Amino acid sequence: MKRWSVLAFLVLLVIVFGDHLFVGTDVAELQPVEVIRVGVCEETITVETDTGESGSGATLEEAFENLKEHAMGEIFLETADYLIITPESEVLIEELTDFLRPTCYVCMEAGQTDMKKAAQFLNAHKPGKTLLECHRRKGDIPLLITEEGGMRLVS
Amino acid sequence: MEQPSTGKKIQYPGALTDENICAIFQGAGDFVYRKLQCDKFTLYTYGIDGLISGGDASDYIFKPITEHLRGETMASIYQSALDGAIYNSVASPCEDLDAVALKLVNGFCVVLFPEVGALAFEVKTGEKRSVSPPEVENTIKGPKDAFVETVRSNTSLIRRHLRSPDLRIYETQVGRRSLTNVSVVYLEGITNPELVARMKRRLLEIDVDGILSPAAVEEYVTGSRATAFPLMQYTERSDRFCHGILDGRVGLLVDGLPLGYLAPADLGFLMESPEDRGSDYVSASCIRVLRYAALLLSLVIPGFYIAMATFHQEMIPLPMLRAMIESKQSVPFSTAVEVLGLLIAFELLQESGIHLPQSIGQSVSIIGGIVVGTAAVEAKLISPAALIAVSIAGVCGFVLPNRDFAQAIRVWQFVVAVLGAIAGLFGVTVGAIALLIHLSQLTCLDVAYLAPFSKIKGATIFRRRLRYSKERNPELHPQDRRNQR
Repeated sequence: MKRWSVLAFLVLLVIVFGDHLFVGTDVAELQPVEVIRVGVCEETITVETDTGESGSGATLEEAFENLKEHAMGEIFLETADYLIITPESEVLIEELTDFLRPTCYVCMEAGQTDMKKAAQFLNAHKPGKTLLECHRRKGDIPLLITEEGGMRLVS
Repeated sequence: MEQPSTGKKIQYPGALTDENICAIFQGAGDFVYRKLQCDKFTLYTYGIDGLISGGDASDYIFKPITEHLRGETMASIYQSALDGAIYNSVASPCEDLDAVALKLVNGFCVVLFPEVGALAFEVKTGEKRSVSPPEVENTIKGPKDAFVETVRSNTSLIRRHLRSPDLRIYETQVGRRSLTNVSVVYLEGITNPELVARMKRRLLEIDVDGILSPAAVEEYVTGSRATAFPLMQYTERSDRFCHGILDGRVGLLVDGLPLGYLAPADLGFLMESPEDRGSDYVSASCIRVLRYAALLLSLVIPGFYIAMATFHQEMIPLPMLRAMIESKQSVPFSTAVEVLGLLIAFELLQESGIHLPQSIGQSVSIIGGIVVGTAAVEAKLISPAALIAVSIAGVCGFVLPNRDFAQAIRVWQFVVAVLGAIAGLFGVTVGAIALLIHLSQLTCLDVAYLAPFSKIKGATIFRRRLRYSKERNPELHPQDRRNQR
């Protein structure tokens, strides 16, 4: 009897708190991000992904929140392999380590970047500088130059 | 061998008369009855057609009665028959109606000497399945004699493997109506007498109508615990049974079942395969490690997959995660539903394979496993990753040598999968801990289920070199602890 009452109590706990304790997202609902672009325009931070989603806000946190709110599905940043920043958003590198994997490759854009094409290009030509290395200020960030419809990576 | 015990008696009151014997079997179409004239006296013979051999009864009972049995009084005829005038290897006096009934249902022919007594002569029919190779526990190098349904054939197989005069076979009947012959087998001087006494006591305590199925034997003998795990080890191999007896365990043979049971059973015994003793210790140890790995994989893979795909995607390597996401994009079910559904489908396929004839069963397995599985993946009803996870768990389950144990693991596989779906890796861990607690509470004849892991010796997982394996399992408290010098 005692054992059953303990079990019933545990089941009750799971029912009451289960929804709050264990909230999972099925892998099918995930929108895996490969390339993410962070820019700053007139004190507004914009975040753009290769899945076509974008968000903006006064802070990086707000921008990511906005991105997730407006995205079709669950934006999954853990899969992001490449981070494209602008000269204005370079100051956000330290903050970005809270949102993206430290092994994510970083490059700085020069010119308007097509995100879809950038993913293909960067998969073939790895920038060679990770977010962690940039955070530790080891060397210069490679430049991703877009010109005449093509891309070029300059270290 | 100990004298057979009649165990619980079937209560037939009354004197030992022809009318009373016939009354017991009234309405039984196979009950055969014959009156014989012996000098001036009339004798009555009884038997059950199909259990006795008509030819043997004629040659070794009826013929000697009519040709050789002579006497002045019925008492002298009875004594003469008992002394060998009726030449038969077994002539057992029956003191009452219960004894007569018991002998008749066991294939004896009973001769009634009115007002003096009755004698039972063994003329059992030779109709029984012959000893054949094992069907489930096959080995490449081991012996090919498996147990059959007749307990006497099984005891003879054991005697051939263990020619020790110290081998003891205690016989009793269990089941008020089935009167099933049950034998407790052990080695005097090796097996702990307390184990034997416990086993005998449990058999005597069984008071049911019949004990005909393997589950009935296991449940009644082990005390019907609330667990899916087997508390007795069964084997169809006589050599394996004898190894168990030599190790100091108690054996149990049940008439009508082509199996031998060994008790106590712990996790170490259940993970042993007969092939382990047929190969060198290096190969056997490697296979055993694989078997334990398969046990772990079979238990946790479905739950682990659900947990990872639902709660801990960040722990999955990126290329694999992308592949999983891609394959899941068009699947209409969540990972938990997908995996649990596949597990159920897997169980259904197995169940259908068991109930169908072997040839059709194989076809169903192929159709179900390959054709339907592939079609379901192509139709995007299930993802290939989920199918692979469940298939690996299924194949690993088949690696476990004891089917009952594998079934218990499959039950817990569901529990772990559901917990994984509810709470991710936390749930899987809770399930694994709950299973560990459950197993640690189980005992069989006072030997803990996890006894092999109570001391870190490594001997349970690895097969030790025989020359260094000089002592019997101390958990069994054998009378003679050493098995070699």
